Formats: sequence, structure tokens, C-alpha cells
Amino acid sequence: MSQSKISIDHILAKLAEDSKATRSILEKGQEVLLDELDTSIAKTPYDVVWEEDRVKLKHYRPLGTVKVKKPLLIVYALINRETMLDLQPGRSVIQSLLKEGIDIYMIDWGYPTRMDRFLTIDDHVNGYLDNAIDFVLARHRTDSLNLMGVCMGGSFSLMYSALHPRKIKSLITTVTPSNFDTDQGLLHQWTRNLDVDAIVDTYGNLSGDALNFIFLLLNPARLMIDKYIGFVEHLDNKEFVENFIRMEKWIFDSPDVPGETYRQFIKDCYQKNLLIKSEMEVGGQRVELDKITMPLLNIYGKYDHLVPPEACEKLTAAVGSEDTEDVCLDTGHIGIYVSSKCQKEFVPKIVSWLKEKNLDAVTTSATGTDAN
Amino acid sequence: MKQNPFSNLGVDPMVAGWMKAASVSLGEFGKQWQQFNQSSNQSGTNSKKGTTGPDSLEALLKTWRMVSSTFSHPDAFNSQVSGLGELPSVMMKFAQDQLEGFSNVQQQMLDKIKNSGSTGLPLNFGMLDKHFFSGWKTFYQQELSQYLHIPQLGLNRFHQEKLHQLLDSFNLMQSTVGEFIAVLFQPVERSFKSLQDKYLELAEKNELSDNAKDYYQMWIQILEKDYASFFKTPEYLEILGKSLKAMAEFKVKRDEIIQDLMADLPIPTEKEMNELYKEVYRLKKRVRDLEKKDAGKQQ
Repeated sequence: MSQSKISIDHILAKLAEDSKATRSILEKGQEVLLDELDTSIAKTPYDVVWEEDRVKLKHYRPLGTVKVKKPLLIVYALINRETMLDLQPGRSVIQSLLKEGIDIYMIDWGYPTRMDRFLTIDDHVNGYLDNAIDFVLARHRTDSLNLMGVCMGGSFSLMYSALHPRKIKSLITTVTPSNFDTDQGLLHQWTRNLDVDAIVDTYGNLSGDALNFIFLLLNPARLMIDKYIGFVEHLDNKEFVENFIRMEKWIFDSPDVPGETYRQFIKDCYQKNLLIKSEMEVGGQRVELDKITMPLLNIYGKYDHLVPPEACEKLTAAVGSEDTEDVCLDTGHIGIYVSSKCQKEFVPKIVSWLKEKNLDAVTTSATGTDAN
Repeated sequence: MKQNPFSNLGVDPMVAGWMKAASVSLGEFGKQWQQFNQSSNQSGTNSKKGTTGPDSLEALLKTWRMVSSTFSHPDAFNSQVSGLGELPSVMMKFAQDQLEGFSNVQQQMLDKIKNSGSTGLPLNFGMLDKHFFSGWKTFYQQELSQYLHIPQLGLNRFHQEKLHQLLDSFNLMQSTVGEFIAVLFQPVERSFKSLQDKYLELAEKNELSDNAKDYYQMWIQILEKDYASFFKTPEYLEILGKSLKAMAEFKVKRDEIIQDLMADLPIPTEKEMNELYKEVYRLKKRVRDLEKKDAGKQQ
């Protein structure tokens, strides 16, 4: 081996320089951490207009004139919290949509307890979701609304739209898994041979802590090490620290998933892939994707490691609607919602698409609850 | 017939005489005790007829009378004493049998210990870090676990068996999860080795960086790639499945014991609460379905 041409003095001098810079960062960082930090999330004002058990329906107060007649109901996943769509001012999907004149409702699934362990997918889709939608339809004195699903919420939205197509004016699915027969994502591989019966029969609900750990394991190098190295490097930057803590608050805020819902989702979707084959049964009814005849906008992320493109791109071909569109963004699973760059692409696309599919939109009052 | 060892000492008439005298004196004592007993029964101090203390003493005295009358006859005494002469050899044989049995058991245990190493994985020190947990688990399953599966007897047999099952599942869970954690660290070890190789490669090409951050970035990328491919391997998927199964089995056994203990306390158990939750869920669902049907009819 030939001798290194970098002298030891040089290396040591560099290390001394780096340690001096690190010390300065840590000193300033201490001031930042001990200062008042604004780390609150989900600050956009809303009213809880409907409740059933632990499930709430939030209606966001419109910012100005509502420009799309039919309201948009957003259905988030049972994993993590819907607050991700309203993480902070300047990076809030909810605020961006409100500014464009969309009347927004969002389901808050709450925090399941042991009492909820027997709730099934049918209870969520034909129970809570159907009742929430009926409430909104009655409130707006209309027969249909626009539905937008996020991740597992998108899967629920697909099931609902197939079972109750008349109530849905248009459907938007974002990072929504519909085809689970793929090796692109680690979750698909891990769950393929999972004995879900043993887990649900033993533990009941799937605990939020277990979910957090599973998601960290998907990329431990970045999520358990590199992320925090980056945090320390920017510790002197107050805005960075605030944004980081907001994200930490959201990412580890994981409710439990009801056991029976989890059991069916893993068995029927991840293991048997029944949804895309239109063979899945919910509440005794077959979910036939060709019954989805309303306009469909399907958005997914190219670098999504949780719901890879292969899990999303077959949907538009499987539904009965002829008015479908796929949009693949250069981002990951969460980036679509929290990246300010992606939001500049994502939100305008949704707004323009909704306006196009709701051409009979009329301006209404601020509450958006007038009749057609 | 063997010679009576005591015959030369002229002991027979002496012992017979002593036995006779003892029998007479104890007989007198017994008669007096009986009289006392009868009078106290009449006065009501011993309200229950046949109380334990006096009955036992009477039985004892009767037995002694019988024994002493036997020994007061020289012939009977002789036959008893000659029998006593056999006692040492009988005791010796008895002790010999006991000792043989004990040493056989000990030999079995020593043979088992001697052969136990051959049933596990290679336990040479070179592979110890990689196969410690799996080696221990194999050793435990083949050598020790069987003792926890011996059927139990008696009133507490079910509880005892549950406790043994809990111990067994705990040991298996611990070793399986230990193996899982050890496996999780394998990419970290490999990444350090890869980084060293990369460092040498760069040194060969004189492309070494003077910035520590560059090496960190190199290491993180190596580690990320290694984990991404490692998590898809059958080895990882197998140990993941085994760990989840072992943890679930341990929880089931532990909860059974806890619920048994709680059965005596005024606290509802998880099983009872689950049954209640299920009942409430069914009722709520029925009410909702009826409400919907009713709403549909009204429309």
C-alpha cells in the first residue's frame, strides 16, 4: 500500500476546526432549545360537526368564497394522524386547498382503545364513513360529494366508492395501495407470510408503538441515525428545529389499529391481494372496482418506499370509469404533502381537477352549506 | 439355626424377668388410668366419649402389654433376639441397593452432561458471536426444556404445568429475540468492514478526503444499502417470524397465569373485558342496522 499523501497534521487541524464549529453549534443550539419554540401543528381552524364513538368529522372554516359547489371529504389512514395534512403554515395542504376555495371536511379516526378491537373494515367503511358522508350530504342538501383518500384511507375510499357510487361525485386517491402483489416495498415482503391471526388473537389491537418501530426498521440507517445527526448539525437554526420537532410530533403520534380491521387488511389485501382483483368482501358485499364509474385522479410518489408505484399504477385500468388520470410525482410517501416544492404541484393539480369535474360550481356563502 | 449371640451371657432369664415386672407395673398404671377416665366421664369433664388423648394412651398400654407378655416367654424372646442378629446384614443389603441406585442415577446425569455438547451447533469460540443465541436455544430445547414438560401431579397440577409452560416460553422468547437483535446488528458490523475496505481502496488511489463528514456519508450509504437488501433475505424474514411468534406465545402464557391469580381478586380480567367489549360491539351494530332499516322504511 502506498503512503497516504494527506499529512496527519492536516487531518488533526481539520478535526480541530470541525470540533470548534460543532461546539459553536451546540452552544447556539442550547439557546434555541431553551427558547420558546412554536411547534404546534394542525392550527387551521375547524369545527367538529359530527361525532360517532371515537370518530369525529372536522369542517374547516372557509377562507373566503367557496368556489367548488360540492364539498371535499378527506379520508386519512388509520395509521398516524390526519394532522399531517395541516403540519404548519406554509406547508399545509388544508390551508392551500382552502385558499383555492375548496370546502373541506376531514375524518378524524381518533385513538382506538381495547374496546375498538372488534371493529372491522365494514364498520369503518359502511359504518362511520357512510354515516359521515350522509351527514355532509344532508348538511349541503346534495346527493353527492368529492372524496379524497390518503394511503389506507384511499383504500377505504375505493371500497366505499365501489359500494356507494351514487354518493360520490369524483374520487381522488393519493399514495393509495390498491395492488399489493409487489416486491418493491419491504412492508409487502414482511407481511406476506405474517401470522396475523396469532398477533391479533394475542395482542388485540396493533399498538401504535409497534407500528412506530416497524416504520423505523424500514430504513434504520436514515431514520434512526442520519436524521438525528442532521438535527444536531442544524441545532442553531430555530426554524429548522421547530419544523423538525413538528415532524417528530406527527411521526410518533400513532394510534393503535383495531385488531379485526388489521387482520382483514393484511389477509385480504397484503396476502391475497383481493382488492385489485375485485374479490374483496366488505360487510358481505363484493367490492367490485368496475362499479367505480365517477372521475378518478390517482396520485402517487415515484420514490415511495411504503406504497411503491407498482402498488398504485394498476388502479386506473381496474376501475369502470373512463375518466381517469394517473399523476406520478418525484417524491416519497410523505413528501407529497409536506414538501413545499411538491405542494406547488400537488395542490394546484387537485384544485384544477376538482373544478373541471364540478363544472356546475357556483359561488356560495362562506359556510358553503347553501342548496344547489 | 444360628446361635443366639446373647445365650452365653445368661441374659434370657434376666430380660424375661424385667419384662414381666414392667408389664405388671404398667398394667397397674393402666387400670388406675381407666378408673380416672371413667370417673371424669361421669362428672362430665370429658364430655365427648373417646377423646383422643386417653384413647391413645389406652391403645399404647394395650400394645405394650401384648409385647411384654410375648417377651416374658424365653422361647419367644430367643426367636426375637436371633432375628435381631440378621438385622446388620439386612441393613447392609438395603444400604447397598440404595447406593447402587444413587450411583446409577449420578452416572446417567454425568453421561448426559458429557453428551450435551454434541447436540448443539458448533460451540467453538470462533463462531460464538454469530451462533451464541441459536446455539443456546438448541441446547435449551434439546437438553433442558424436557424437564419442564414432565406431567405434574396433585391438586395444583394445572397451575404447576402453566408455570412450567410460562418458564419454557420465556426462555425460548428470550433466546429468539436475542438472536433477532444480534441479526439486526449484522449490517452494522459489515458496514464498518466495508468502510475499512473502501478507505484502503481510496488510500491506494490517493483519493483520501480530509473531511470526516465524507467518511460518515460513505458509511451511512453503505449501511442503508446493506439494510435495504438484508431485510429482504429469507434469513431475516425467518427470524422476524420466529421472534413475533415467540413473543406472542410468551404473552399468552403469561396472561394465563396473571388471570388465574386475578381470579381471586375483585378485578375484571382482560378475558372478561374482551367478552364484554364483544357483546357491546354486537349490540351497537344491531342497533345501527335497525336504525338504518327504520330510516329506510320511513323514506
